[in-house]
Amino acid sequence: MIISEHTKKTKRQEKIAKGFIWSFVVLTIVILAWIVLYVLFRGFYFRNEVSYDVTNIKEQQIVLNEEIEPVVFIVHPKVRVKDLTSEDLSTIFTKKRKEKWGPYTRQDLRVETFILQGGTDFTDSVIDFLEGPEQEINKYATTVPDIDSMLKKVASTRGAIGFVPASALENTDFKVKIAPIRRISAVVHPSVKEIVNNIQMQELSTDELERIYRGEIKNWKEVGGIDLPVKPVLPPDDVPYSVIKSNLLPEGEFGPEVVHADSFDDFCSVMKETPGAVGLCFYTDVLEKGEELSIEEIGRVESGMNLTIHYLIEAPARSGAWGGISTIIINTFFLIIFTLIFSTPIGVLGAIYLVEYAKQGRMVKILRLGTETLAGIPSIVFGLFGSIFFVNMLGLGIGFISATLTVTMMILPTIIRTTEEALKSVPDSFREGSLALGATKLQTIRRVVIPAASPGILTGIILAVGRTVGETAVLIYTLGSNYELVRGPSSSARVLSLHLYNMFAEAISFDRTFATGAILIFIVLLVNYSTTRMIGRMNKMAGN
Amino acid sequence: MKRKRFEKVIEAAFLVFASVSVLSVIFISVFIVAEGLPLFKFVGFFDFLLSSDWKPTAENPSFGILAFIVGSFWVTLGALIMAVPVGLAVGIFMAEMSTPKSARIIRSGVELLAGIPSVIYGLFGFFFIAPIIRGLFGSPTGLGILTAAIVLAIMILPTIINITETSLRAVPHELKEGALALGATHWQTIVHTLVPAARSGIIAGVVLGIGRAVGETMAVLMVAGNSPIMPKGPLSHVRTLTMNIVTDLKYAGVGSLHETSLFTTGIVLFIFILVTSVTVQVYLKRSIEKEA
Repeated sequence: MIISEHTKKTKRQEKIAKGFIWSFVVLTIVILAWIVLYVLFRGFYFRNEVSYDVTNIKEQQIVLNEEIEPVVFIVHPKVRVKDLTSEDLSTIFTKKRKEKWGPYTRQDLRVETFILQGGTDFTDSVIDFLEGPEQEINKYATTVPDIDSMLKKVASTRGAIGFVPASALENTDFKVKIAPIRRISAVVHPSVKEIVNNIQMQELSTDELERIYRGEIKNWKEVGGIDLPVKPVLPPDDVPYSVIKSNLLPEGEFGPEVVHADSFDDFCSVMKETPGAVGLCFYTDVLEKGEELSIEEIGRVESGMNLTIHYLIEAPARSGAWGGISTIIINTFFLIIFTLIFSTPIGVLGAIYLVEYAKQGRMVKILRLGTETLAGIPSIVFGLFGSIFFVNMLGLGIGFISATLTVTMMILPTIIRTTEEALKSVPDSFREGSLALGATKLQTIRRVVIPAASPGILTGIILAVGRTVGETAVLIYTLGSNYELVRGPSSSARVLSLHLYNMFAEAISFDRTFATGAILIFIVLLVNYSTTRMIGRMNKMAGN
Repeated sequence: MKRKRFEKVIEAAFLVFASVSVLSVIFISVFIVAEGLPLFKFVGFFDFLLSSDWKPTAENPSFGILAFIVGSFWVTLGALIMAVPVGLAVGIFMAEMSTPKSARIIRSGVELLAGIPSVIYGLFGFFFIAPIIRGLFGSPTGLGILTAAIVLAIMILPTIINITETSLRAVPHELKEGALALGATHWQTIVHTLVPAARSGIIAGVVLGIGRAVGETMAVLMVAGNSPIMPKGPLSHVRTLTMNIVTDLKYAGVGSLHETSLFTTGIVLFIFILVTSVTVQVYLKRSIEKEA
């Protein structure tokens, strides 16, 4: 009986122990899968919460006043713009700060502005709408005589933006894209933004705004504000304010508490006098009557594809904030090629000496210890060495050649070790057979041993590629950080991993950091897949 | 005759290639030492190692790297505490408990883990692990020793798993069969026979993992917080030896004492790596001898 009790206990312990082992194995697999999927997911998909001074209401056609036709802003089809705020539009046309599409579309593309010949009511109204108080459009824009030539110019000029009356787009053959404009702002009575008990109203979402006007939200505390009743106010019904109403809730299902203003002046005075009031008007109105209307920021979620084909084929600009990473991919490729040109012969021939020629003794031991130690040296120490020796002492400068030589030293052990293993796995009978046929040692190695070991050697080279792609620390002070295409041996450059780190450290764009990370993961997966295939082939060969 | 001479020449050429790595090691060591040692003309040896006052650009500069040594130590220890049990378990599973097919799948997974660039680990740590730590323990940034240790633990896992598996597989079959024949269960055999027999190899794997953890730069740089102060607890920001080099090299003047001090930091790192490397060789040799 005692024995069986004991056995039972042992069995139970064993089950628990094996359970632990199982859970650790599962944990490892889960961590691995999670890292890979997390980086890939964030690399492909971005989702950001951004707040704006204007609501998310987009207008394809903009009604400016009663006298003129609605205006449509058109861009060249290659401009990847989703929508623009009226403030962006003013900045673009007056070129107050930037002359590139970068801030809006992340494209490294010059903005070319076109305006219609002045003198007509239409053109004057639009220019009036575009110009801020002290800006001037005519200085920068190209003036075109009529609507047809406007369409033609915008369709054929890269980075073009212009405007036409809405009717002009009805049957036109020119390929232009409409840029929807967001120009409606939410304004609140100052009481809403007061701080009470450490609570302050932060921002509204578009959805919350709609619910306020439907009468579903009755108190500011329901949307994270202070305890104060919500008093929604609508602007008057006449042009151009009527579009606000129809765009916010097209069905007209406004709640009973909504105050309808009779005129814009009435709207302003209601907004000024009613605590807890929220109203909608144009952003330009706020600019004009800044003291009476305080803007409530509207948050919106922006999401979409992160790693697009554009990102792969466009050249980077502004430290990687705009454009893509094409030059960086090419630089990475160059670094790989040149590192291999240096390291493969040294590594493979060195390994051949170790396996085929050297007498196993002290000499081999020292050589092998050297390889092992080299493999253990942290990459930052290589970087330190490279930055002083190659860069300063040999005067090669921070650039491609210094980086290539330093990385070559670093990946040598990988190639040597795998080649050694591959050579050792070639059966001695191969060598003996060849030698017995009268071949010299060199001939045997060249014609028999290396072909037989080639999958193994190739595996080593692929692993070395993987290491080169992943290395960062060694490159910071040897390769530099120029993100343009590498131009010569002493030209500073950036590779993928370095670009990733620089964008992370300079907080350029986390979305783009992840997109670069996803590409790195792809390369690693590719390396992993091909080595597995190689080893599989090697095993098969050994089996035959 | 001519042919033979040619072969001799070729052999000599091969020898030259084979010695490149040894020469590189010697060259790098000599170089780092030559660049770093002059620091001790200006800064006392113990002031350097045992002071945690790192003010390299102050008017009265002081170069104390104790905080970084301690930082490296804690980060590495934390990583080991997490990685060794998991690594051992996975190694044991692959060598003893799994079918060849599942072992193969896990092995390619582990290889993938080893191949992921360190900046990716840093990115993952910063955006995924740090927020969790921040949420769980309420530290202001979530960066620090604990986060760095977790990231490093994942990074050194493959090293430990690989060597554990290899050394367990290298244990002679007779030992296992003998234990089973004596009535030991499979688990008892693993714990009392196989693991002790593979001990040297496993230790070598752990030491190799230590070497990797101490030498890792980019991943810890992204998740450890990088404050040159003495760490006060597991959530404290920390700077390790490698981080110190990579951070300060950016603004150290060429030929300045500051730059020299970074090479001296490199010497400390280098000595550490050399010690681990030799230890690994010794233990691996012992495990090979045992096998024979």
